Amino acid sequence: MSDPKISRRHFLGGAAVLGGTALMGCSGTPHASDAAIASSTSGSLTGSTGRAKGSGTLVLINLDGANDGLNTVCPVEDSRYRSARGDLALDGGSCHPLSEGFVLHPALVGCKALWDQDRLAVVHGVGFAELDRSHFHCRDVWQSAQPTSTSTGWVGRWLDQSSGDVLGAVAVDRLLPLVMRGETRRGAVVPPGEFNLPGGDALRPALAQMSAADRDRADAADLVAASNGDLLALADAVGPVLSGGDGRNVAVGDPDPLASRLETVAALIAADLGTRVYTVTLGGFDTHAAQAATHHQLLSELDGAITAFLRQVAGRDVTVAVWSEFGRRVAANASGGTDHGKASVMLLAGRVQSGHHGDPPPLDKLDDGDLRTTVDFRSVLGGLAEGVLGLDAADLVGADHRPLAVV
Amino acid sequence: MTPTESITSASNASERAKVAHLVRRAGFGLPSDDLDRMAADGYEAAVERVIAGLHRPDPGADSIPPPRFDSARLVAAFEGNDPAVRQEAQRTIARERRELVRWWLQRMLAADEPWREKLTFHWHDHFSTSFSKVRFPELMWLQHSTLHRLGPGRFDELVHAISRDGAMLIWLDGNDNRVGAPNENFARELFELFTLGHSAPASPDHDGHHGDPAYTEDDVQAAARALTGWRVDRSTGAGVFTPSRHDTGPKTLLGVTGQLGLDDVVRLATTHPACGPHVVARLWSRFARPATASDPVVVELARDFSRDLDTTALLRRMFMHSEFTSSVTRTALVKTPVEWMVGALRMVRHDLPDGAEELLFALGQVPFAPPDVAGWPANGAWLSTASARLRLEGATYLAGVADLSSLSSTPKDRRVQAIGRLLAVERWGSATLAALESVASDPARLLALALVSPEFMTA
Repeated sequence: MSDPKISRRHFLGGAAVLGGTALMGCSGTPHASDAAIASSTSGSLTGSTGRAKGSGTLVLINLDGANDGLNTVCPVEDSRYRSARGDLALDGGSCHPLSEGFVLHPALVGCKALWDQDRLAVVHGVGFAELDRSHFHCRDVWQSAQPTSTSTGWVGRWLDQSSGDVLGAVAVDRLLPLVMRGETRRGAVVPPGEFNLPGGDALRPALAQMSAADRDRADAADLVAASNGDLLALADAVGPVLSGGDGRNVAVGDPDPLASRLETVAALIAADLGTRVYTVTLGGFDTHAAQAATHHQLLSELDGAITAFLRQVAGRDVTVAVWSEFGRRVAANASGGTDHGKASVMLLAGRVQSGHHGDPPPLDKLDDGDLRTTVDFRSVLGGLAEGVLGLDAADLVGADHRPLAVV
Repeated sequence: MTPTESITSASNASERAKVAHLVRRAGFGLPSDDLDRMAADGYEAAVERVIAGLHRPDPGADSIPPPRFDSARLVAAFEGNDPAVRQEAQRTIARERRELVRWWLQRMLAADEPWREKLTFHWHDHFSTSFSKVRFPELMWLQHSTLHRLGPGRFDELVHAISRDGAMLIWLDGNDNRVGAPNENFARELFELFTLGHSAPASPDHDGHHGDPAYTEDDVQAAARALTGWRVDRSTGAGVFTPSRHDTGPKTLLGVTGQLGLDDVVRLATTHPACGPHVVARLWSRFARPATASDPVVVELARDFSRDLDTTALLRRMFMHSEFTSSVTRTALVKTPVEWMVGALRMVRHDLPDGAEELLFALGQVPFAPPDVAGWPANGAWLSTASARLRLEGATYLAGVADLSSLSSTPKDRRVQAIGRLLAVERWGSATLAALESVASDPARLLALALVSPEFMTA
């Protein structure tokens, strides 16, 4: 550590191996993975067969920017849909039929296969009463699951109550999302890629000493100390799992495709570290202009990543829940895009009660041009908390919203 | 020592600590000898130096040459259909982006008086725009020039310029906003993030009341119509007004009806009673401590700001406010990755290392690439296991390449005091003190540990 010949790699850290292309190159490079789809049916069924409720692992995928739910699970033959959407209306022929008049977006090839295997659920009309088309407000509401408080997230509050270590919940991300923050505890954040203790063990004793309790410290400083202490614990647990030399956790040329984040999740699940909740994010869904191509590419990335992930965790009790802060306006705008809307769909995959849940919002009874909420998102989160995690939904999301039996 | 001398030196020490706090928040901190000079004439004089420095050219920062931009060729490449030419253009964009990020970081490092750079970084976060959607890096550079030029001036002039800014017109789709086909993206964020604040408070005030929203959905849609017609001129990158694209019909916006246009939108938003408290809350949260628009200090400071919209005058009142130098305020903020890296490099007087932008990317804060229009998160969001690991990695690297001679030549038993002086940290907590003493024999370990300490991260 006092060796002055430390290579440049050390300053770059794990980031160096990710390559700079996606950082400095153009955004929106497609990483659609059609190869992943072909073998998607080979994963063994983890459906609702023979497993105890409430002992599973929950993976939350946030489609950030407000996903167009109407073009994700689509009433494609509905004339009101076709006239409102104009050029943005999907071509029914290239979509994947589900049932009850709904189809999946053409990019969701792998999800269609999951549907056919009873491993996909669609929740219609998901939203909430206070939904006001603000990304930032709604994103906070979703993560806190408590519209009157945005300082803690629902997973964080569960961590507060639980007795586990820092590994109880893991965000595979760069920053700590609100959903992972409790009053006294917070989830761990593991970036995609390797996770070792920089400088080896040279600084470990001193770092541990510095992380010890200090009554004089202010709150912000306490959080710094806690994050350093958690780092030591996490490096011990996760380091050996993620720094394996086969490079399978290293994404070359692109820093953060969803697939590599989910690959990290799969590696952590395989290591049986006791983590019950994982969160990952795919951004770019705020499609105010030229939506068709962007949305296709994003859903394609989502589809490929989920398909590959469920194959990687085959045989394990895992439920994936895909959410977005709200949906988009029913009518297309004149920029070939859609403005902020209200209710949207959630996709659930893996171990789920497959099929349709919730009432599809009627297209002839819009709420100021938007789909109406028919299912409060807290009912879905409550259903996941009970069905996947075995927790009392009322504790986490309040007693006002009856858990929906989605798992 | 006579009693008088003791009192004088104690008050000097506390005055120096106040100035150290000022230069950390208004800039990126100063190495000890610079700090001594800054503190020589007391706190108030130091505030006046910062305020005056906001309006002076900075030869240090201006010595960093901006990237070479080749926008005309990029435009031509994307208008054509030759895949090889387009691929080459993508490589050019990647180079320009990297150079642009490093250019700003180097300005922050080289600035003789970094206050202007820090304020510009605040406005970049406030009017958050990213090159993830703005294809041409030169547009981001032009926006930076606008924020830098107008940042210390009148807030309404800044909003007026940003509303016609080329990068912003692309970022929030103003470029597509035209009569008969309004695109409300910019209008919504103009109200919610840039001027008025979110319309429906997430939590009621202490009396349990939800205040009246500052604006409604109708206002957002009326503002979008009023802003129609502004597009980016491809040859200059500037916003230009095309009358044929403008909606000349009557609109009702924030209670005013008329044939409203961009000037009216900016005037009505920046003179709205909600604007002052919202903007002051963001500045107070950046420079002092986290606050909302209803925080008493914010309400007090917003009274004058709402009248004159003068950012420099507001900053002076903020820095001279007794709450700014209170002990609570002094420990209330967590350094962002840029503040941490630039601060550390300035303290040890080291150039920007290769790969600095990659480390910032991994930490989640690349200048010109905020995550979305709300800007970067603050404080607790920067403190995770992942960021703790990356900071340790960067600190370990820096300790390996920095000039440690001043530490090495200090006797072992005084090195902990010396590292405090080097990093301008006045006081270490007991846990950190014990940890630093345990590695005092190794100057590089001492520096690495101090750079990730709670005291350096939150000072």
